[in-house]
Amino acid sequence: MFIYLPDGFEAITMDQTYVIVPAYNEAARIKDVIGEIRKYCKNIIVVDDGSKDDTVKVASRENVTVLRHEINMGKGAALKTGCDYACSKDAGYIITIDADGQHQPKEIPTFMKALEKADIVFSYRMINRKMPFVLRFGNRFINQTLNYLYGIKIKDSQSGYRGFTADAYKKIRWNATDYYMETEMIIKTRRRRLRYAQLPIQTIYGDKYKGTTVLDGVGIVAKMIGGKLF
Amino acid sequence: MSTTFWIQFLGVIFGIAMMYFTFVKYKRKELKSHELMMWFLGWILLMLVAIIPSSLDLIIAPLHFYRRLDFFVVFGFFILLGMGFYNYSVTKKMERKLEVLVRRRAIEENPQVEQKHEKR
Repeated sequence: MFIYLPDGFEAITMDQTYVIVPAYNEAARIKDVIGEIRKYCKNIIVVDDGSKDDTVKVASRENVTVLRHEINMGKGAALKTGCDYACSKDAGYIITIDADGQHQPKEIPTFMKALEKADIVFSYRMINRKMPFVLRFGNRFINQTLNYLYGIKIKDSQSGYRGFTADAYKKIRWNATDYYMETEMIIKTRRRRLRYAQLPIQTIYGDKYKGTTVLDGVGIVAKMIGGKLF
Repeated sequence: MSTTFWIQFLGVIFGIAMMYFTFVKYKRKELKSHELMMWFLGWILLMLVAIIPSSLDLIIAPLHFYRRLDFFVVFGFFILLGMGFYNYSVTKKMERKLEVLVRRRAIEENPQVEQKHEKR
């Protein structure tokens, strides 16, 4: 199998790289997503977060590591399970990617390249008309609140396509089980004074009923305020 | 009939109904005998207060409440806030325990998944 390596990267580095894919009811897309990721990384961990469809069955056929939550616990919990497992396998680098096909695995080498100089790499989606209005407005509002309350300027605080070193993960290991984990990760990055980079990514928007909703956004802002106060 | 009668009547009916539901929970073994006693005591006290509201005057007078109802509103609000906080903390504790359990089982069960792949 041929794996694309970023310039200057040894194969051993890619051996230590694990891609974590949290999945919830993604039986229809997971096969293609795994197939694409495999071109760039062989260590793939799918964490099924209590799906009601055949996500586990489909992912298991693809010969990747499949961890299964018996009940739906949320994206934060699923990612933590995957990251903990990767660390137990002596992972050096961890990439998190959504299972809905929104992110393009061809960008994994760019993340790896950026991780040469940073502990954490955040991605940001290009703000254009393709991005749903609610998402555009909500994201901007959360980013501004994050900057105002915690003094950290992140272009896209809600993008789930991220990369970090295993050492950095141990310092930013989040408590949130839901979508707040992405924000908590940023806050901890700032508090632990870790080096971070931001990368532009291309995004394909699919199911508008999945992912962060307006209510999730309100919850994220409320938790940010609560985290600052208490 | 005075307005007080209907408040007393509703208070007693509510107390009896709650005693019945508490007893059903006890028979289903969802409550232990000491929990049954505790809840029964609470409902009996509520009915007593509903039947003899003047029994509260001993508490209300030193606190300078104008009416008994004012005392009920303030006291009830405190109780609700306390119960809300208690429920919140218990739920959070349960969530945390559940998360730890689910995540641990997911990781521990994984070797079986890997073995299946090797057999294929």
